[in-house]
Amino acid sequence: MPEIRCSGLRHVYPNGVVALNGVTLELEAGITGIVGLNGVGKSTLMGILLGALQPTSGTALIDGLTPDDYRVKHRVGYVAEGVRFEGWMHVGEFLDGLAALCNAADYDSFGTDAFRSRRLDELSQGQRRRVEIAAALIGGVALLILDEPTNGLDPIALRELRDILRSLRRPGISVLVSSHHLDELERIVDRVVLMTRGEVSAVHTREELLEQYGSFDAFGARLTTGGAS
Amino acid sequence: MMRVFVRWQRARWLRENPGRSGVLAIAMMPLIYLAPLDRLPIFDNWRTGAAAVAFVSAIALTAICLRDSAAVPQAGVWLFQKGIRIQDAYLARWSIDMGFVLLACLWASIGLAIGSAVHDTLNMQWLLAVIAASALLAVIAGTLLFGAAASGTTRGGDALALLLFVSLLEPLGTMFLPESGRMVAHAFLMPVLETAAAPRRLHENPISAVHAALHITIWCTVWIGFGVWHLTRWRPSPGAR
Repeated sequence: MPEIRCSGLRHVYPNGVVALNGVTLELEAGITGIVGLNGVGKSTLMGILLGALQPTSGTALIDGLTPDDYRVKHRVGYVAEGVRFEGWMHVGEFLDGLAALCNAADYDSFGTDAFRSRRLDELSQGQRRRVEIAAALIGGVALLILDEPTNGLDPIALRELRDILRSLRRPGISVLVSSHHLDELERIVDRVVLMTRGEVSAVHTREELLEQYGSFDAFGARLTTGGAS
Repeated sequence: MMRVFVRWQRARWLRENPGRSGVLAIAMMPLIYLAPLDRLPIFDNWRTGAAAVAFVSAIALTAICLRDSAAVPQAGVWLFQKGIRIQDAYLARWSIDMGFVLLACLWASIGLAIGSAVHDTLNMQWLLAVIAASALLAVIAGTLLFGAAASGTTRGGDALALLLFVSLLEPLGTMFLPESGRMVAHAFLMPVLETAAAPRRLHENPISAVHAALHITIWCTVWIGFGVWHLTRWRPSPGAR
Protein backbone atom coordinates (compact mmCIF):
# COMPACT_ATOMS: atom_id res chain seq x y z
CA MET A 1 0.00 0.00 0.00
CA PRO A 2 1.35 3.49 -0.83
CA GLU A 3 2.00 5.70 2.11
CA ILE A 4 1.04 9.33 1.52
CA ARG A 5 1.34 11.50 4.55
CA CYS A 6 1.50 15.23 5.25
CA SER A 7 2.60 16.44 8.62
CA GLY A 8 2.42 20.04 9.83
CA LEU A 9 2.64 21.39 6.27
CA ARG A 10 2.97 25.13 6.12
CA HIS A 11 3.46 27.14 2.96
CA VAL A 12 3.98 30.88 2.76
CA TYR A 13 4.22 32.49 -0.68
CA PRO A 14 6.91 35.11 -1.32
CA ASN A 15 4.27 37.84 -1.09
CA GLY A 16 3.54 36.80 2.51
CA VAL A 17 0.26 34.96 1.87
CA VAL A 18 -0.03 31.95 4.16
CA ALA A 19 -1.57 29.28 1.93
CA LEU A 20 -1.15 26.30 4.26
CA ASN A 21 -0.94 26.58 8.00
CA GLY A 22 -0.10 23.22 9.50
CA VAL A 23 -1.85 20.62 7.35
CA THR A 24 -1.64 17.09 8.72
CA LEU A 25 -3.26 14.46 6.58
CA GLU A 26 -2.93 10.82 5.64
CA LEU A 27 -4.33 9.69 2.32
CA GLU A 28 -5.68 6.16 2.11
CA ALA A 29 -6.35 4.14 -1.00
CA GLY A 30 -9.63 5.11 -2.65
CA ILE A 31 -11.03 8.45 -3.71
CA THR A 32 -10.71 11.46 -1.44
CA GLY A 33 -12.48 14.71 -2.23
CA ILE A 34 -10.87 17.93 -1.08
CA VAL A 35 -13.26 20.82 -0.66
CA GLY A 36 -13.12 24.37 0.55
CA LEU A 37 -13.69 27.90 -0.66
CA ASN A 38 -11.31 29.52 -3.15
CA GLY A 39 -7.96 30.40 -1.61
CA VAL A 40 -8.02 27.91 1.28
CA GLY A 41 -4.89 26.19 -0.01
CA LYS A 42 -6.20 23.22 -2.01
CA SER A 43 -4.03 23.89 -5.07
CA THR A 44 -1.02 24.67 -2.89
CA LEU A 45 -1.41 21.33 -1.11
CA MET A 46 -1.66 19.61 -4.50
CA GLY A 47 1.39 21.52 -5.74
CA ILE A 48 3.42 20.30 -2.77
CA LEU A 49 2.30 16.70 -3.31
CA LEU A 50 3.27 17.05 -6.98
CA GLY A 51 6.72 18.31 -6.01
CA ALA A 52 6.17 21.63 -7.75
CA LEU A 53 6.20 23.64 -4.51
CA GLN A 54 8.43 23.35 -1.48
CA PRO A 55 6.72 23.59 1.91
CA THR A 56 8.00 26.38 4.12
CA SER A 57 7.93 23.91 6.98
CA GLY A 58 6.51 20.48 7.72
CA THR A 59 6.84 17.41 5.56
CA ALA A 60 4.98 15.62 2.81
CA LEU A 61 6.07 12.05 2.24
CA ILE A 62 5.18 9.56 -0.48
CA ASP A 63 6.48 6.11 0.30
CA GLY A 64 8.88 7.72 2.74
CA LEU A 65 10.34 10.20 0.20
CA THR A 66 9.59 13.89 -0.32
CA PRO A 67 7.61 14.54 -3.54
CA ASP A 68 10.43 16.55 -5.14
CA ASP A 69 12.68 13.48 -4.99
CA TYR A 70 13.14 12.17 -8.53
CA ARG A 71 12.86 8.58 -7.26
CA VAL A 72 9.21 9.16 -6.37
CA LYS A 73 8.03 11.79 -8.88
CA HIS A 74 6.62 9.19 -11.26
CA ARG A 75 4.43 7.92 -8.41
CA VAL A 76 2.30 11.10 -8.51
CA GLY A 77 -0.02 11.80 -11.43
CA TYR A 78 -1.47 15.26 -11.87
CA VAL A 79 -4.39 16.43 -13.98
CA ALA A 80 -5.51 20.04 -13.84
CA GLU A 81 -7.41 22.45 -15.99
CA GLY A 82 -4.35 24.62 -16.61
CA VAL A 83 -2.26 21.70 -17.83
CA ARG A 84 -1.84 21.82 -21.59
CA PHE A 85 -0.72 19.44 -24.27
CA GLU A 86 1.65 20.07 -27.12
CA GLY A 87 -1.20 20.20 -29.59
CA TRP A 88 0.68 18.96 -32.67
CA MET A 89 1.25 15.55 -31.08
CA HIS A 90 -1.02 12.62 -31.82
CA VAL A 91 -2.69 10.89 -28.87
CA GLY A 92 -0.85 7.62 -29.52
CA GLU A 93 2.54 9.30 -29.93
CA PHE A 94 2.05 11.16 -26.67
CA LEU A 95 0.94 8.21 -24.55
CA ASP A 96 3.42 5.75 -26.08
CA GLY A 97 6.22 8.29 -25.61
CA LEU A 98 5.37 8.86 -21.95
CA ALA A 99 5.21 5.09 -21.40
CA ALA A 100 8.64 4.70 -23.02
CA LEU A 101 10.06 7.51 -20.87
CA CYS A 102 8.74 5.72 -17.77
CA ASN A 103 9.94 2.31 -18.99
CA ALA A 104 6.33 1.16 -18.68
CA ALA A 105 5.68 -1.92 -20.79
CA ASP A 106 1.94 -1.29 -20.87
CA TYR A 107 -0.62 1.27 -19.79
CA ASP A 108 -4.36 1.62 -19.39
CA SER A 109 -5.59 3.65 -22.37
CA PHE A 110 -9.08 4.37 -20.91
CA GLY A 111 -10.70 4.15 -24.32
CA THR A 112 -8.27 6.51 -26.05
CA ASP A 113 -7.42 3.84 -28.63
CA ALA A 114 -10.46 4.98 -30.61
CA PHE A 115 -8.77 8.32 -31.37
CA ARG A 116 -5.07 7.46 -31.13
CA SER A 117 -4.19 9.09 -34.43
CA ARG A 118 -5.91 12.41 -33.69
CA ARG A 119 -3.97 15.55 -32.77
CA LEU A 120 -4.17 16.50 -29.12
CA ASP A 121 -5.45 19.98 -29.99
CA GLU A 122 -8.39 18.50 -31.89
CA LEU A 123 -9.93 16.56 -29.00
CA SER A 124 -13.20 17.26 -27.27
CA GLN A 125 -13.11 18.09 -23.55
CA GLY A 126 -14.19 14.56 -22.66
CA GLN A 127 -11.55 12.98 -24.87
CA ARG A 128 -8.93 15.34 -23.44
CA ARG A 129 -9.80 14.31 -19.91
CA ARG A 130 -9.45 10.63 -20.81
CA VAL A 131 -6.03 11.24 -22.36
CA GLU A 132 -4.99 13.29 -19.33
CA ILE A 133 -5.96 10.55 -16.89
CA ALA A 134 -4.36 7.83 -19.02
CA ALA A 135 -1.16 9.93 -19.24
CA ALA A 136 -1.14 10.77 -15.54
CA LEU A 137 -1.46 7.10 -14.56
CA ILE A 138 1.42 5.86 -16.71
CA GLY A 139 4.36 4.61 -14.70
CA GLY A 140 3.03 3.02 -11.51
CA VAL A 141 1.22 5.94 -9.96
CA ALA A 142 0.40 5.78 -6.24
CA LEU A 143 -1.35 9.14 -6.00
CA LEU A 144 -3.51 10.67 -8.71
CA ILE A 145 -4.31 14.35 -8.17
CA LEU A 146 -7.27 15.78 -10.07
CA ASP A 147 -7.82 19.54 -9.82
CA GLU A 148 -11.34 20.47 -10.97
CA PRO A 149 -11.64 17.50 -13.35
CA THR A 150 -15.34 18.06 -14.07
CA ASN A 151 -14.98 21.59 -15.45
CA GLY A 152 -16.17 21.98 -19.01
CA LEU A 153 -17.50 18.45 -19.38
CA ASP A 154 -20.89 17.67 -20.92
CA PRO A 155 -23.18 15.13 -19.18
CA ILE A 156 -21.90 12.20 -21.27
CA ALA A 157 -18.26 13.06 -20.59
CA LEU A 158 -19.11 13.51 -16.90
CA ARG A 159 -20.58 10.02 -16.76
CA GLU A 160 -17.49 8.62 -18.49
CA LEU A 161 -15.24 10.41 -16.02
CA ARG A 162 -17.23 8.98 -13.10
CA ASP A 163 -16.82 5.49 -14.53
CA ILE A 164 -13.08 5.98 -14.98
CA LEU A 165 -12.65 7.28 -11.44
CA ARG A 166 -14.70 4.43 -9.98
CA SER A 167 -12.47 1.99 -11.86
CA LEU A 168 -9.51 3.50 -10.00
CA ARG A 169 -10.94 2.42 -6.68
CA ARG A 170 -8.35 -0.30 -6.31
CA PRO A 171 -5.59 -1.12 -3.84
CA GLY A 172 -2.39 0.79 -4.39
CA ILE A 173 -3.89 4.01 -5.73
CA SER A 174 -5.07 7.05 -3.83
CA VAL A 175 -7.05 9.58 -5.81
CA LEU A 176 -7.30 13.15 -4.55
CA VAL A 177 -10.03 15.19 -6.26
CA SER A 178 -10.57 18.88 -5.81
CA SER A 179 -13.87 20.18 -7.12
CA HIS A 180 -16.45 22.86 -6.52
CA HIS A 181 -19.10 20.56 -8.01
CA LEU A 182 -20.10 18.85 -4.79
CA ASP A 183 -22.94 16.91 -6.40
CA GLU A 184 -20.33 15.23 -8.58
CA LEU A 185 -18.07 14.52 -5.64
CA GLU A 186 -21.02 12.89 -3.87
CA ARG A 187 -21.17 10.29 -6.62
CA ILE A 188 -17.51 9.32 -6.61
CA VAL A 189 -15.66 9.96 -3.36
CA ASP A 190 -15.13 7.67 -0.38
CA ARG A 191 -14.21 10.49 1.98
CA VAL A 192 -14.00 14.25 2.07
CA VAL A 193 -11.32 16.55 3.45
CA LEU A 194 -12.62 19.98 4.34
CA MET A 195 -10.08 22.78 4.22
CA THR A 196 -10.54 26.15 5.87
CA ARG A 197 -8.01 28.98 5.91
CA GLY A 198 -5.04 26.77 5.10
CA GLU A 199 -5.92 24.02 7.55
CA VAL A 200 -7.71 20.69 7.43
CA SER A 201 -10.77 21.42 9.51
CA ALA A 202 -12.51 18.05 9.12
CA VAL A 203 -12.27 14.65 7.45
CA HIS A 204 -15.55 12.78 6.86
CA THR A 205 -16.44 9.58 5.14
CA ARG A 206 -19.05 9.95 2.42
CA GLU A 207 -21.60 8.19 4.63
CA GLU A 208 -20.91 10.44 7.61
CA LEU A 209 -21.36 13.53 5.48
CA LEU A 210 -24.61 12.29 3.95
CA GLU A 211 -25.90 11.36 7.38
CA GLN A 212 -25.05 14.76 8.82
CA TYR A 213 -26.15 17.01 5.92
CA GLY A 214 -28.40 14.87 3.73
CA SER A 215 -26.48 15.70 0.55
CA PHE A 216 -23.15 17.16 -0.50
CA ASP A 217 -24.96 20.18 -1.91
CA ALA A 218 -26.46 20.89 1.50
CA PHE A 219 -22.97 20.54 2.95
CA GLY A 220 -21.76 23.01 0.33
CA ALA A 221 -24.47 25.48 1.29
CA ARG A 222 -23.33 25.30 4.92
CA LEU A 223 -19.74 25.65 3.74
CA THR A 224 -20.41 28.97 2.04
CA THR A 225 -22.16 30.34 5.13
CA GLY A 226 -19.33 29.11 7.35
CA GLY A 227 -21.45 26.56 9.18
CA ALA A 228 -19.87 23.33 7.94
CA SER A 229 -17.52 21.39 10.16
CA MET B 1 14.81 9.13 -23.63
CA MET B 2 16.56 10.36 -26.77
CA ARG B 3 14.63 7.94 -28.99
CA VAL B 4 11.28 9.29 -27.72
CA PHE B 5 12.33 12.89 -28.25
CA VAL B 6 13.63 12.16 -31.75
CA ARG B 7 10.23 10.67 -32.61
CA TRP B 8 8.39 13.65 -31.10
CA GLN B 9 10.63 16.31 -32.67
CA ARG B 10 10.42 14.65 -36.08
CA ALA B 11 6.63 14.83 -35.84
CA ARG B 12 6.85 18.45 -34.71
CA TRP B 13 9.03 19.37 -37.69
CA LEU B 14 6.51 17.86 -40.09
CA ARG B 15 3.35 19.23 -38.46
CA GLU B 16 4.20 22.39 -36.58
CA ASN B 17 7.54 24.10 -37.01
CA PRO B 18 8.72 24.49 -39.76
CA GLY B 19 5.81 22.33 -40.99
CA ARG B 20 5.37 20.54 -44.30
CA SER B 21 5.78 23.70 -46.37
CA GLY B 22 8.88 24.62 -44.39
CA VAL B 23 10.42 21.19 -44.91
CA LEU B 24 9.63 21.51 -48.62
CA ALA B 25 11.34 24.92 -48.68
CA ILE B 26 14.40 23.39 -46.98
CA ALA B 27 14.41 20.60 -49.56
CA MET B 28 14.53 23.26 -52.31
CA MET B 29 17.33 25.23 -50.67
CA PRO B 30 20.18 23.79 -52.77
CA LEU B 31 18.54 25.25 -55.89
CA ILE B 32 19.35 28.81 -54.80
CA TYR B 33 23.04 28.22 -55.50
CA LEU B 34 22.29 27.41 -59.12
CA ALA B 35 21.32 31.07 -59.58
CA PRO B 36 23.94 33.42 -61.10
CA LEU B 37 24.59 35.27 -57.86
CA ASP B 38 27.48 37.18 -59.43
CA ARG B 39 24.97 39.15 -61.47
CA LEU B 40 23.62 40.76 -58.31
CA PRO B 41 25.27 44.19 -57.95
CA ILE B 42 25.95 43.71 -54.21
CA PHE B 43 28.36 40.83 -54.75
CA ASP B 44 31.80 41.09 -56.36
CA ASN B 45 31.71 37.53 -57.64
CA TRP B 46 29.73 34.30 -57.36
CA ARG B 47 31.74 32.97 -54.39
CA THR B 48 31.11 36.05 -52.29
CA GLY B 49 27.41 35.85 -53.05
CA ALA B 50 27.20 32.13 -52.35
CA ALA B 51 29.03 32.49 -49.02
CA ALA B 52 26.71 35.33 -47.97
CA VAL B 53 23.64 33.27 -48.92
CA ALA B 54 24.98 30.27 -47.01
CA PHE B 55 25.62 32.33 -43.86
CA VAL B 56 22.30 34.19 -43.94
CA SER B 57 20.28 31.07 -44.71
CA ALA B 58 21.97 29.14 -41.85
CA ILE B 59 21.04 31.86 -39.36
CA ALA B 60 17.52 32.31 -40.78
CA LEU B 61 16.87 28.57 -40.72
CA THR B 62 18.03 28.38 -37.12
CA ALA B 63 15.89 31.35 -36.13
CA ILE B 64 12.79 29.74 -37.63
CA CYS B 65 13.33 26.17 -36.47
CA LEU B 66 14.81 26.70 -33.02
CA ARG B 67 12.91 29.73 -31.79
CA ASP B 68 11.00 27.79 -29.12
CA SER B 69 12.82 24.45 -28.84
CA ALA B 70 13.84 25.22 -25.27
CA ALA B 71 10.69 27.08 -24.22
CA VAL B 72 8.91 25.01 -21.58
CA PRO B 73 5.15 25.27 -22.05
CA GLN B 74 2.61 24.26 -19.39
CA ALA B 75 2.73 20.87 -21.14
CA GLY B 76 6.12 20.44 -19.46
CA VAL B 77 4.18 19.21 -16.44
CA TRP B 78 3.78 15.83 -18.16
CA LEU B 79 7.54 15.29 -18.22
CA PHE B 80 7.93 16.78 -14.74
CA GLN B 81 5.42 14.39 -13.21
CA LYS B 82 7.12 11.41 -14.86
CA GLY B 83 10.37 12.28 -13.11
CA ILE B 84 12.11 13.51 -16.27
CA ARG B 85 14.44 16.40 -15.50
CA ILE B 86 13.19 19.38 -17.48
CA GLN B 87 16.74 20.55 -18.26
CA ASP B 88 17.62 17.12 -19.68
CA ALA B 89 14.43 16.95 -21.73
CA TYR B 90 14.62 20.42 -23.26
CA LEU B 91 18.37 20.27 -23.86
CA ALA B 92 17.74 16.97 -25.68
CA ARG B 93 14.93 18.52 -27.74
CA TRP B 94 17.08 21.51 -28.64
CA SER B 95 20.01 19.25 -29.59
CA ILE B 96 17.76 17.22 -31.89
CA ASP B 97 16.42 20.38 -33.54
CA MET B 98 19.97 21.69 -33.86
CA GLY B 99 20.91 18.39 -35.50
CA PHE B 100 18.04 18.77 -37.98
CA VAL B 101 19.18 22.31 -38.81
CA LEU B 102 22.77 21.17 -39.36
CA LEU B 103 21.51 18.39 -41.61
CA ALA B 104 19.55 20.99 -43.57
CA CYS B 105 22.72 23.11 -43.88
CA LEU B 106 24.60 20.06 -45.11
CA TRP B 107 21.82 19.32 -47.61
CA ALA B 108 21.98 22.90 -48.91
CA SER B 109 25.74 22.57 -49.32
CA ILE B 110 25.15 20.00 -52.07
CA GLY B 111 23.69 22.88 -54.07
CA LEU B 112 26.66 25.01 -53.04
CA ALA B 113 29.07 22.42 -54.45
CA ILE B 114 27.11 22.05 -57.70
CA GLY B 115 26.67 25.82 -58.04
CA SER B 116 30.38 26.28 -57.46
CA ALA B 117 31.21 23.84 -60.22
CA VAL B 118 28.71 25.48 -62.60
CA HIS B 119 29.48 29.17 -61.97
CA ASP B 120 33.06 29.00 -60.75
CA THR B 121 35.75 26.39 -60.28
CA LEU B 122 35.04 23.84 -57.57
CA ASN B 123 37.48 24.67 -54.79
CA MET B 124 37.16 22.11 -51.99
CA GLN B 125 39.04 24.24 -49.48
CA TRP B 126 36.68 27.17 -50.03
CA LEU B 127 33.66 24.86 -50.01
CA LEU B 128 34.58 23.25 -46.71
CA ALA B 129 35.35 26.65 -45.19
CA VAL B 130 31.88 27.96 -46.12
CA ILE B 131 30.10 24.80 -44.90
CA ALA B 132 31.99 24.84 -41.58
CA ALA B 133 31.37 28.55 -41.04
CA SER B 134 27.63 28.19 -41.84
CA ALA B 135 27.32 25.32 -39.39
CA LEU B 136 29.14 27.30 -36.69
CA LEU B 137 26.91 30.33 -37.29
CA ALA B 138 23.84 28.09 -36.96
CA VAL B 139 25.15 26.70 -33.66
CA ILE B 140 25.92 30.18 -32.32
CA ALA B 141 22.46 31.47 -33.24
CA GLY B 142 20.94 28.27 -31.83
CA THR B 143 22.66 28.63 -28.47
CA LEU B 144 21.45 32.21 -28.13
CA LEU B 145 17.89 31.07 -28.89
CA PHE B 146 18.27 28.22 -26.38
CA GLY B 147 19.25 30.58 -23.59
CA ALA B 148 16.55 33.07 -24.49
CA ALA B 149 13.73 30.53 -24.78
CA ALA B 150 14.78 28.66 -21.62
CA SER B 151 14.72 31.90 -19.67
CA GLY B 152 11.07 32.28 -20.63
CA THR B 153 11.27 35.13 -23.10
CA THR B 154 9.17 34.93 -26.23
CA ARG B 155 11.38 37.53 -27.95
CA GLY B 156 14.33 35.26 -28.70
CA GLY B 157 14.08 36.01 -32.42
CA ASP B 158 14.19 39.76 -31.74
CA ALA B 159 17.18 39.31 -29.43
CA LEU B 160 18.98 37.32 -32.12
CA ALA B 161 18.32 39.95 -34.79
CA LEU B 162 19.42 42.78 -32.53
CA LEU B 163 22.57 41.08 -31.28
CA LEU B 164 23.44 40.01 -34.79
CA PHE B 165 23.09 43.57 -36.03
CA VAL B 166 25.16 45.00 -33.17
CA SER B 167 27.80 42.30 -33.58
CA LEU B 168 28.13 42.95 -37.30
CA LEU B 169 28.75 46.61 -36.55
CA GLU B 170 31.24 45.80 -33.80
CA PRO B 171 34.30 47.21 -35.62
CA LEU B 172 32.49 50.53 -36.05
CA GLY B 173 30.94 50.65 -32.59
CA THR B 174 34.20 49.93 -30.78
CA MET B 175 36.38 52.07 -33.02
CA PHE B 176 36.99 54.75 -30.38
CA LEU B 177 37.34 52.39 -27.41
CA PRO B 178 40.74 51.56 -25.90
CA GLU B 179 42.12 48.07 -26.58
CA SER B 180 40.84 46.68 -23.25
CA GLY B 181 37.35 48.11 -23.90
CA ARG B 182 37.32 46.55 -27.35
CA MET B 183 38.21 43.17 -25.85
CA VAL B 184 35.42 43.36 -23.25
CA ALA B 185 32.83 44.39 -25.85
CA HIS B 186 34.04 41.65 -28.18
CA ALA B 187 33.66 38.99 -25.47
CA PHE B 188 29.99 39.84 -24.95
CA LEU B 189 28.97 40.20 -28.59
CA MET B 190 28.03 37.34 -30.89
CA PRO B 191 31.20 35.99 -32.52
CA VAL B 192 29.67 36.15 -35.99
CA LEU B 193 32.39 38.02 -37.85
CA GLU B 194 35.19 35.83 -36.62
CA THR B 195 33.07 32.71 -37.15
CA ALA B 196 32.52 33.58 -40.79
CA ALA B 197 36.26 34.11 -41.16
CA ALA B 198 37.44 31.29 -38.86
CA PRO B 199 37.82 28.46 -41.37
CA ARG B 200 39.77 30.76 -43.73
CA ARG B 201 41.94 31.95 -40.84
CA LEU B 202 42.65 28.35 -39.93
CA HIS B 203 44.55 28.15 -43.20
CA GLU B 204 46.13 31.61 -43.07
CA ASN B 205 46.70 32.28 -39.37
CA PRO B 206 46.14 29.26 -37.09
CA ILE B 207 46.71 31.20 -33.85
CA SER B 208 43.98 33.66 -34.77
CA ALA B 209 41.67 30.72 -35.61
CA VAL B 210 42.33 29.13 -32.23
CA HIS B 211 41.46 32.44 -30.54
CA ALA B 212 38.21 32.56 -32.51
CA ALA B 213 37.40 28.93 -31.66
CA LEU B 214 37.95 29.66 -27.96
CA HIS B 215 35.66 32.68 -28.09
CA ILE B 216 32.96 30.69 -29.91
CA THR B 217 33.21 27.80 -27.44
CA ILE B 218 33.04 30.02 -24.36
CA TRP B 219 30.19 32.09 -25.81
CA CYS B 220 28.12 28.99 -26.60
CA THR B 221 28.90 27.36 -23.25
CA VAL B 222 27.81 30.46 -21.34
CA TRP B 223 24.49 30.65 -23.21
CA ILE B 224 23.78 26.94 -22.81
CA GLY B 225 24.69 27.14 -19.12
CA PHE B 226 22.39 30.14 -18.71
CA GLY B 227 19.55 28.21 -20.38
CA VAL B 228 20.11 25.03 -18.36
CA TRP B 229 20.20 27.07 -15.14
CA HIS B 230 16.78 28.51 -16.01
CA LEU B 231 15.38 25.11 -16.95
CA THR B 232 16.45 23.55 -13.63
CA ARG B 233 14.33 26.19 -11.89
CA TRP B 234 11.22 25.48 -13.93
CA ARG B 235 8.23 24.17 -11.95
CA PRO B 236 4.59 23.68 -12.95
CA SER B 237 2.14 26.22 -11.62
CA PRO B 238 -0.55 24.34 -9.67
CA GLY B 239 -3.89 26.08 -9.82
CA ALA B 240 -3.01 27.99 -13.01
CA ARG B 241 -5.97 28.29 -15.36
